[in-house]
Amino acid sequence: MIEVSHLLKTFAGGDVRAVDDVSFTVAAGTIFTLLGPSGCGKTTTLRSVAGLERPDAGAIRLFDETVFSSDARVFVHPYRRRVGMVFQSYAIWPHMTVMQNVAYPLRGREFSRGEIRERALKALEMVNLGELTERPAPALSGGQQQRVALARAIAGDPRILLLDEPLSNLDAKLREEMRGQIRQLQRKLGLTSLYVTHDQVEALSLSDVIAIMDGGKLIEMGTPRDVYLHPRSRFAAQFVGLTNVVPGRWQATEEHGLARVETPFGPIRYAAAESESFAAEDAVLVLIRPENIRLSPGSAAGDSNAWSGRVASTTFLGEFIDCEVACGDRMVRARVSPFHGVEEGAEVQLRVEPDRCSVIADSPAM
Amino acid sequence: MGQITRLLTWDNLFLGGVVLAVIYLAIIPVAVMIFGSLQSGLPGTFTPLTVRNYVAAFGEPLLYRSIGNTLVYSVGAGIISFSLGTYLAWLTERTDVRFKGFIYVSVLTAMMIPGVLFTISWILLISPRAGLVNVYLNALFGVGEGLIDPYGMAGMIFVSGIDDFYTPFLFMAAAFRSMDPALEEASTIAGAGTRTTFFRVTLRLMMPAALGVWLLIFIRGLEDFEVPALLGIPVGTYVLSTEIYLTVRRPPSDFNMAATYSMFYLGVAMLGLYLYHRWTRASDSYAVISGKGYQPRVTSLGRWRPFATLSAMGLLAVAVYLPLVVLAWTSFLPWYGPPSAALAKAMTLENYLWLAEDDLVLSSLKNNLIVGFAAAAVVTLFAAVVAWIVIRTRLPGRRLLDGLAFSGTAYPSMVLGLALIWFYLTVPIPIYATLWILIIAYVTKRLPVSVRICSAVLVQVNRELEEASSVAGAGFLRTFTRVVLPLLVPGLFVSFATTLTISFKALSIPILLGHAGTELMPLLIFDLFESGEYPKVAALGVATIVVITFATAAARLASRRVGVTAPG
Ligand SMILES: Nc1ncnc2c1ncn2[C@@H]1O[C@H](COP(=O)(O)OP(=O)(O)O)[C@@H](O)[C@H]1O
Ligand SMILES: [Mg+2]
Repeated sequence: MIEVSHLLKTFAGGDVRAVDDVSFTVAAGTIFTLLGPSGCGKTTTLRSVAGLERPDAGAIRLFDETVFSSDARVFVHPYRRRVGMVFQSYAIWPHMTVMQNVAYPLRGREFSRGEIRERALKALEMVNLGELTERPAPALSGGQQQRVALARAIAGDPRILLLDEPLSNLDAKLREEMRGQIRQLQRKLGLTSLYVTHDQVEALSLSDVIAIMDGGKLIEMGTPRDVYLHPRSRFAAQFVGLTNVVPGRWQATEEHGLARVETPFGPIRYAAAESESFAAEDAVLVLIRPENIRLSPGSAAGDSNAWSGRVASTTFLGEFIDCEVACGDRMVRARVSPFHGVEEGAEVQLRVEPDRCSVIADSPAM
Repeated sequence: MGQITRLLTWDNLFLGGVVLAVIYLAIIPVAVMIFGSLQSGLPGTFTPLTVRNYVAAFGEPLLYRSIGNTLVYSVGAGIISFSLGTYLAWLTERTDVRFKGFIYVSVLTAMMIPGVLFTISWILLISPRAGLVNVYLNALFGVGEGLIDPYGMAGMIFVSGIDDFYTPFLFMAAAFRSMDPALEEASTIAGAGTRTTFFRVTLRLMMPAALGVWLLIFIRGLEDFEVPALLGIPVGTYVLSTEIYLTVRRPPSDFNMAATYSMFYLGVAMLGLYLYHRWTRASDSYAVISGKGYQPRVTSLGRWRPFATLSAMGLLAVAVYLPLVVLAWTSFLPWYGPPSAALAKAMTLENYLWLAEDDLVLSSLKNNLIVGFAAAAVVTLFAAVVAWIVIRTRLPGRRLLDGLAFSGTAYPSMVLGLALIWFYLTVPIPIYATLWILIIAYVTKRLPVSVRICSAVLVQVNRELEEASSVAGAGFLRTFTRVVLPLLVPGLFVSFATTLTISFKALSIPILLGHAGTELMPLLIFDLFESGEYPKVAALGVATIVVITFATAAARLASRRVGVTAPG
């Protein structure tokens, strides 16, 4: 278990708040992802957990040990934290062989020589590198280096595993393969893991829980499903996948658990969550994913959840066609099947089902 | 109490020890010189403070003359060696001159010749009565003895100027190489001719580097000892280094006056350094590791090519091969004389046999190896630690540490030597007249260069490589020895090798600090020459050059194997 509470880390004499009051908990045996744009403070958070940065304030607990606490003046050095870490650059030591790299975390501990070798070999086998043990580290491909880094991180039997954008230096194909391997390994070892990435696909496919960060702050947290389907902030909605954001005014709840919002595209009904508490005429945003918009020929006839537009541009992307549809003075993104006969300049009707859109408050801060 | 024991870890002891040692090495010389210049007694005694020495120094015309001579000498030698080095660098890097490989080898060869030997060979070549060149000139043209005279300011400037041309050569060659040829091509495309491009673009771009290099040679000239000692002292032309040497060594020695002169000397050296730093500001000029070079534009010399090639060969003959040949020739003679049939018949291996048997030679070699290896090991370790602290940590005062580690450059060797003598005659640390004091001097003197070398390598090492070690459970000492030092190996090699070779080359440190029983090779050469044993000196010189060449070649091979090339 990793427990981070009210973490604060500033740079440049306090001018840059790289991590700003961040709290989260990673349950034992799960993989937790920090997702956000470059410079949002992910790496700094991860390094604070590793002990490579000394935060200004807050507390960090690993299982039952407090490794950092500004109040209790506790700071455990990284080499005493018993964590495994995969660095963005891999940080494979070029003057050592694969075996020496992986055995490094085992040295200086209670193990015998034989045991060290045995454990290192086991770690290498887990990442399918059992046959490369005596290779000098510089003679490895990017993917192999990545796996050595992973083997080294798990060889010392760490309490937790930290990964900083481990796949960002690999090409697309390899990235997908390694993603699967990391997930598999994490499951098999039941390792409590903290994963950092700016890539939403990685985050969605790997994580038990995703936390979205921006400007040093943690914006929201949830399962991949929650974060994608029911984002609670404009930032989350737009950072994870594409989203059309339609401003509107909330009207009233109706039957069948639906609620109505008045928008420039006419009334839109959506499946309201029980927890929400909007009042009439509250400013809200309707979030609609491009893939949830259906396009059909012709124009809408004053129906709710449907409006008309003109196809401004289409881009054929293989898996789907990406369309920009001009609706009044707004552009709406829609994705349709590659077999869809959509044409630029055509008048179309756009439609979204009530259970395929969500509504959040339009707070000025977001 | 708990606080204190918690701080008393091996890590902190190691780091703290090195830091304290660096502070100690940096502070002592200047503190001792200030103290000594305000005393009226010998080292080891304490007298009331007095400004008597300063009053005397200000009223001493000799001091002003020495300062003036020092400046004239440094500027003059700087101009000659800079011109020579830059001309050869330009020919090899930017033109189609022939025999470029030979030019490079010759430059590297020049680096192997210690200044004291170089000067001695020029005395053998052009001393008024016995110098080969003068003897031949007289025999051929009947011009009388001593047409050419190496003694005095002109001779000093000439010999020193052609001695150290490899430093500007290597720096300027690197500067020529690291200039993007696209800058010149852009000028050509914009319609400028070859000549216009050279003056308006090439020369302008080279200016900052050139001035930086010139200042560097100038600063080195300020502390030169070998040439002024051999060519200046006999005719009463003194510079600050020889002035201090004589004030200490010529009876009646006056240590207080020497310390006072040292303060002026220190002032001159600081001024030179200040100018240099103002000019270079960025530490680019220290770039020891050759970066990714461009393929420079090569100018076709056309019909000038044979002349340019000939001029390069001629210059190298004078600056490298003539001195080597005369040394080699002399080393086989029973007594010194110009080449003749009679002498050729009398040639002998006796001098070399003497080398292998003489106790003094063997003990000097042994001393030199001990001092060289010990100083090289210590200075390299210190440099690695200082570079690591300055670059990797946020410790308060790390800038100050960097500055202190640099102080060795500000201390002219003669000042350093005098200060160490004084200090270790005063404090109850019994290392005066031992090899220890020499090791301390070399460590102080070489630390700045070694720190630059290590820093240059360390900034290229990804910090995550060290962090990975911490996370893997390694404490500071293990991370430092298992990860940091191995990654620094290229820099460590260069630092080690240059320090070792310097200990075989420089006379200015052992001249004051070496004693009977602690001679180093350069000092032995100097002493033998003073007693007129030219053939033995020559044989000893040839042997020394061979040792230096082997050490350098080994280091180069080793550092190439770990993937780094570095000049020097
Ligand atoms: N050592 C440092 N010194 C100064 N600023 C830093 C340092 N490390 C990170 N920052 C700043 O902190 C912010 C967060 O950085 P980081 O955690 O690396 O972001 P991410 O990993 O999300 O891209 C950035 O604005 C970055 O410039
Ligand atoms: Mg990052």
